[in-house]
Amino acid sequence: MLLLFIFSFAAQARSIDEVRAAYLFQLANFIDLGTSKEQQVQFCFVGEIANPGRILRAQHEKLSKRLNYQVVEIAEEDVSLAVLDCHFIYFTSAQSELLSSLLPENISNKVTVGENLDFLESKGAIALIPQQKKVKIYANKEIVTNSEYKLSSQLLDIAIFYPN
Amino acid sequence: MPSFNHTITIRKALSRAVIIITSLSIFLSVAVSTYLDFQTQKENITQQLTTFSKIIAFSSSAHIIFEDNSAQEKLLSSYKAVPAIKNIHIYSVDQYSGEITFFSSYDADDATPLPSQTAKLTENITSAILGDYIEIVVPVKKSDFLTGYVYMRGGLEELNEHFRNRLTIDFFVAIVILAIVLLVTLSLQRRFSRPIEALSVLVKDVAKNKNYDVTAPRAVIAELDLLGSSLNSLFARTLAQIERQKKDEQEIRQLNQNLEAKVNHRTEALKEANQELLSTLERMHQYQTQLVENEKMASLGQMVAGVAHEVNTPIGLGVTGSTLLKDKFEEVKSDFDKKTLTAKKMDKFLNDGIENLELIYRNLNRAAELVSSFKQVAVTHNTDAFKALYITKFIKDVIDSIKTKFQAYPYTFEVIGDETLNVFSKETPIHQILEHLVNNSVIHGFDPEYQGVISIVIKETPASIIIDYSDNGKGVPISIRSRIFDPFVTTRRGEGGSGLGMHVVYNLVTQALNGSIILAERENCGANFIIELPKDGGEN
Repeated sequence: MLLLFIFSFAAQARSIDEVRAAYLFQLANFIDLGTSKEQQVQFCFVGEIANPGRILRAQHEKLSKRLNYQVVEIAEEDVSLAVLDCHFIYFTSAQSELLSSLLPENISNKVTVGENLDFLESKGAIALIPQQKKVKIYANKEIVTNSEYKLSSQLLDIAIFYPN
Repeated sequence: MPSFNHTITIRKALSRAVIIITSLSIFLSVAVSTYLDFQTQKENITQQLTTFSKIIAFSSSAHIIFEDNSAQEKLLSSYKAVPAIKNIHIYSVDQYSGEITFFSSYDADDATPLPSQTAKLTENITSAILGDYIEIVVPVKKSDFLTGYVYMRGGLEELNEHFRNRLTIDFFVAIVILAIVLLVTLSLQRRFSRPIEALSVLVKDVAKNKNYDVTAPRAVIAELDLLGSSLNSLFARTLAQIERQKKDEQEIRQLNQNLEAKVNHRTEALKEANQELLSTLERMHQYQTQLVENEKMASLGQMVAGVAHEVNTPIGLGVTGSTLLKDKFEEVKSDFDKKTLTAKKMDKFLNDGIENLELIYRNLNRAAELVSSFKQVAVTHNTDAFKALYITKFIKDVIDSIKTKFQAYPYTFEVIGDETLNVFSKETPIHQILEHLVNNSVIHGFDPEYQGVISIVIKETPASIIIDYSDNGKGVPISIRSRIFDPFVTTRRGEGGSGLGMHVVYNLVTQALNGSIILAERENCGANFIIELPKDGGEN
């Protein structure tokens, strides 16, 4: 029990953004995007790069040994064309409602990641939502099911579907 | 030699051997099969727990990465259905620092919670048995990167229980097998030992009573039946052999009696024959003595006859001459007394007288020479002593002195030999021998104008010297060859030959010089005498 307490304390020591950055990075390992392993994974941020993106960019030297990735900033006016090369498109809480207006309709091969349940209601695929001092993974079952990418069984095991 | 102080019955030996062999076989079989079974069971449990650990590791990667402890605990609790699993620990590895931290755990109801096992974690799959437990460590990896560890502790109660059950079953099976083997052995003992005991009693009885007129009983065991048959055959042959032996002994006794009678008979015959032989031998001795005496007398008579014959002629002529001279003297005396003696008569008387006297002188002188030669035959009066001689040189000197007498004749003398050859001998006998041999060659072998060659070759043997005397004359007539060394043997009887020369030579060689002489066989090629003289004089 003492060990569990220490572990929990260590986990809490990280900020929500750091956890989200780590989860975003690890989603690439649990989602089959249909690309080759050598192909660079692009994490795209609309507008100004959010904190998780900054953290990933800051840890690029260390994390790139495990995954060839790039953090890309997309201007709102160029979204429709720029997102074509993205694999993950991250939306902050403030951008949740912009999803349908900013992105083109046919993006079923892009993993959209948000920060709240509203994002999922706005046809977002995955949301990293803080809950009881942890970050839980929520998934829009309809979007995920109809997408061109595939979530691994392990990810599906821990993901919470919303709306049910 | 092996010691036979301790004997053992076949029954005991057989039962002991069977029990020992069976026990060892069972023990060995149980030990090996149990060991192999234990190893197999241990490997199976290890494999089973490792498989569970790998499944947990695969399922836990997302829980660890996305820090979902509740899902992890729910997953681990599902392994309650596996009683062998006692404890499961899940450890996470921090993605940035690599630090290992405890993530989740599971403890079976009958298991004690364990402290952190981080010291045992490795990036390879490991398994180790510690007492009654087995520990498995499996790394949790996602996309080839380490994200955590699964530590599992399994109990070996099931294995130990299986092992105990196995040993118990094996023990009871072994007891049952041994009991069955013992019963079978006892049964076999009776089947084997009874016929053997019967045969043993039979053989003992035969050995004790010498009664071979018995029969061994038939046996169910083929080998023992064969042994019984062989014994019966042996007894029968022994009985026949004894009968034959008795018969042979009887025959031998009879033969011995006959043989003794024959031996006695033959002994008597031999005694008689021996006696007869002794008598014959005695008579032979008498005949021999008589023969020697006769021979002596014959030799003496022959010698006397020879001497008489040789001396008779000159003495007879002397007697005749002296008788004639006496008649002349009486005639002259009568004329003188009658005063009728004329000068003419006187002159005739003187001339006749001188002639008669010369005749008398010649014949007396001849008689004197004969007597002198007779004396030479006896060489015992020779007083020369043995001395060292260079024999070749000495013979050359002798021949040189002899050949001066024959300078008027065309004869050739040659002496061949090693001049350093030294022997121990006498000079005078050798000189006389050579003189006789040369005279014989010249008188009997050569005509006056003949180109005679006399050759003397001196050779050496380890103990003697050989004087090989030969000439190229007429040789020795066959008629006298065998008697050449006898006295008075000559081919010139009445022509001045006395027949004593070679006899004298023989006596000188054999008596004075202790050697030997032979006439070599050389037909129509001259005479050849081989004289052998000892180097040391032969006096020893």
